[in-house]
Amino acid sequence: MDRNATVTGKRLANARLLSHAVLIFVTILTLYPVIWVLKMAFTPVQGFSTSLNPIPSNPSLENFVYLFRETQFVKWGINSLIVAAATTLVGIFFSCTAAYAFSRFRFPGRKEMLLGFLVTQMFPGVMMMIPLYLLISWLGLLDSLTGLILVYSTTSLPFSTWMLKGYFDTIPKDLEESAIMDGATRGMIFWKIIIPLARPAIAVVALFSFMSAWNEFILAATFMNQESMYTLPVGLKMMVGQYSTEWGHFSAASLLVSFPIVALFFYLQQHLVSGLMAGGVKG
Amino acid sequence: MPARPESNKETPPSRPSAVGISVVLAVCTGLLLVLLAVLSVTWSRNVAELDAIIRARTLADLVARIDSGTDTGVARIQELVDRAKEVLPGTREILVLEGVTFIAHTDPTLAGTRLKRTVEHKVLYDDIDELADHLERNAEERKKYPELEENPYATVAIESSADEVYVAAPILEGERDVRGIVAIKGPPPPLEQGRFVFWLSLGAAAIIVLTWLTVQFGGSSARAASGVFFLLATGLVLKYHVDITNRAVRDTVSGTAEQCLALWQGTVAAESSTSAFRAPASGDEFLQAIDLTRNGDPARWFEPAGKTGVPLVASEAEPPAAQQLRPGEDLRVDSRWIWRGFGVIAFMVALYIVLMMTGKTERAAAVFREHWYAYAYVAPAVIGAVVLVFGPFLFAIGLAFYTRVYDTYRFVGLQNFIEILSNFRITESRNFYRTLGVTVMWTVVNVSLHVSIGLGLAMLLKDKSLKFTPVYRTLLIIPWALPNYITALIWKGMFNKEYGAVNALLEKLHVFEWLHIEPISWFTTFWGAFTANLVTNVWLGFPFMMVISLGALQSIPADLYEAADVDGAGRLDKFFRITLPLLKPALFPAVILGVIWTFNNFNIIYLVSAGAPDNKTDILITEAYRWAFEKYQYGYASAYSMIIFLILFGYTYVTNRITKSTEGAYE
Repeated sequence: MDRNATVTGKRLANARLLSHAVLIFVTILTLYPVIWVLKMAFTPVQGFSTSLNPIPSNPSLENFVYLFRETQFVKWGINSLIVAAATTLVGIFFSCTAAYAFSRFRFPGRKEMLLGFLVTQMFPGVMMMIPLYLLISWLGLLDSLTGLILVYSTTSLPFSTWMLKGYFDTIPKDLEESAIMDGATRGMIFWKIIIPLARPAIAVVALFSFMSAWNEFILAATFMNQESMYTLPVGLKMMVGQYSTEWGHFSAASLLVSFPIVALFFYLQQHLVSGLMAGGVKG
Repeated sequence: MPARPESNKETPPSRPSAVGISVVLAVCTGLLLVLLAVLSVTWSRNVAELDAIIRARTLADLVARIDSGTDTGVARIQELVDRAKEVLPGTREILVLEGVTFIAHTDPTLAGTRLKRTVEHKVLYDDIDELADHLERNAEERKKYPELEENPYATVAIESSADEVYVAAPILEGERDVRGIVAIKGPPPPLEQGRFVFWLSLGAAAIIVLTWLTVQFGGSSARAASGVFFLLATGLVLKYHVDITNRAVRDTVSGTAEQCLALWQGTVAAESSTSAFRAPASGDEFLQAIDLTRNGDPARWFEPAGKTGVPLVASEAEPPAAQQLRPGEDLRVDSRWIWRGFGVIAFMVALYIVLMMTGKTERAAAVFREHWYAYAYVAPAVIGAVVLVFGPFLFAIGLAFYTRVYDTYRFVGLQNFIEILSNFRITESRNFYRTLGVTVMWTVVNVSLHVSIGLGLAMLLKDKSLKFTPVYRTLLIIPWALPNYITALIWKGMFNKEYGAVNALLEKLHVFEWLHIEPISWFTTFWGAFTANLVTNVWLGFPFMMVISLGALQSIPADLYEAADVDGAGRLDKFFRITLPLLKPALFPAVILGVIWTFNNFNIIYLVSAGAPDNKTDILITEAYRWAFEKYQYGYASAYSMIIFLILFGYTYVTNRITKSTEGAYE
């Protein structure tokens, strides 16, 4: 009995050692590119260095200074911020109202509309891009933040609506019924009961649409031609474009752009997974 | 924009049909106003463009007469440019470029310099690059489609944005040879119509109120009459609007023509006092001489009045005096769309009247009255989705049956699809079946690696007795958290042949020595580039599968394994009999989603290999993008993406059949 226990114990210890070895190896592989970016960001040379040493030989903040002084990085950041914030606000407001109606009311056309929203998730992005590009240029909204906001917020609407509807469905109806007994109007119920109760879900959906707008590359790259109207993704791509490869500047910019989004992501990851899967299974 | 239709829904109706008809009218007028506003912007821009085309063509024709090979010639061109900036109001910048040298520029520090993409002149360089590219494309299109010779838009390049118009015209030597380009940054669109739209909305509101009153207090014949009255009033207002716009267009273009004529006459008098050239006598004649109203098709948006042609370049010969062209009369904005919109609305109103007579509207109104709040809540989202998601989608489907020739579309039926699907030469890099093969391989390899790596790591991490698992877990999720365009660009750099980290690492590990090969040039072979894409996407995608698997693994009750232990089951038995079957419900949807994401993973391919070498690593979605936004074949690209959609639709249908996972999704 005792002997058996020590044998299993030893085997377990060995297995754990192996697990650690594998995990450490994979983690190093995973972090390798990230460490490279860190290194390049603090190295005032624009090429890649071929040394494997992850610590910059003569660290400096030159790249960051260059970003703020010589490029339109700040302008792109502001553009991205405006677009992402406006997209989130517009998208969340309209998807909340729609999700509330879909969750609480039974009206002719409800099923068709819900199904329609679901179907939009299957439309391929590139197929939508051609007509959207023509529409936006026809409206004279190329090179304008309004155009991007319009497109981002409407394309995120169906997804947000479905996710919020799922959450609203879980809020018990008793509360509303008693509120109606007390003479509350539908508007009051929506603003005073549903919205406060759904705050966690709304926050997740809001941050999700903020992040997708913040990270969106290809629509912005297609719609924006003027350098001063770029959003961050387009601006960063241009730094390592065909004319020049300013890796140091690019890395510094990547760090600045990624840091808030990575922090947000870690803050939210649990919700993201469940939300994605909820939307995903249905989609 | 008029008040939204919901505002009418707020007040409970006393008589449903009165509210019904005012809602219908408000929606109709609203749509008309939106259409009008949009068209006004378009008209405005087209006038600005036409304006700039006249200026650019005038200057290009003038510069073409001056020999830029001599110093005096260059000085004279500069003089001309300076004078033009003064004479033509609103002109912000004029430049004459031959080869890569600015022969002249309104910015004196740039005149005589070479075009370079320095930090300071990046924007200028990119703009000119774009314009020159555009000019070249137009020249090619003109070779392909001779009828484009008639279209002045095809002879120049235009890049217009909200606040300026940038036009480049080629400096022609003889009939065809291009010596250089003249580019003009023009004035903002000259037509201001905001005030008019305001008055129009006010008028529309009055009409609606009037109609509502009639309906409220009148019988059904009064209602029908009010519908007719509405249409009549709207029609008149629209006609008036189109007329004043036309007048504004004529004034603007004629004004520019006069200014250009003055410049022309001044220059030509100085240049060739002995030449046989006779300057046109009036602005109208001038327009004709510089070829803008040729064949009465001054621009694609302006309706023609039949005229015969004069040569492409204003010739030294006399302009044909017989052609009494009056562009002042002939320039008209293209108002077809507004009348089409009007027709649709007339049809809707007629339909409404018919439905009302048969009592159908009463029933609809009853349903609406019962649920008006629900509709009010969903309306913004639904309208947004219809206008910006469903509308474009249907438009794209329609576009798939057209082909684009310069800026016009021709119906070609199924030709695009046939062209894509009937080409079986799979050795060509842009062949559809080849690209499909690459896409399927890309998807299968990626998703299997994602799942196996993710699942493997999750199996290691689920062991609660293992130390530091939260640390590993957090670090391993980082790739998922990073914006994927940044990841893609980083990896693109890492795979660089000379200074990329991947080759540096292989070098340090002596891999190249062992294999007796040179450092790998990743993006010059298919397999190299494919590997680069694959490594990037695997790096990016395994954390998602890891997190999903970990969640599912942790929800498997431990007693199942204990029971298996009691029964003497081995590790493999436990994995295949317990773990996998219980993981399936969580993993299957994740895999289905992962397949769709990877199949459509635009960013990685576009940013890492960019299709290199020679479009061989492109997947379907990037190929469709290239057809649309690099070759401007919108119809072909639409057909291409429709095929992608059908493939994915089929895939989703089949997997849904298998999982039935959509069951109960509506409740």
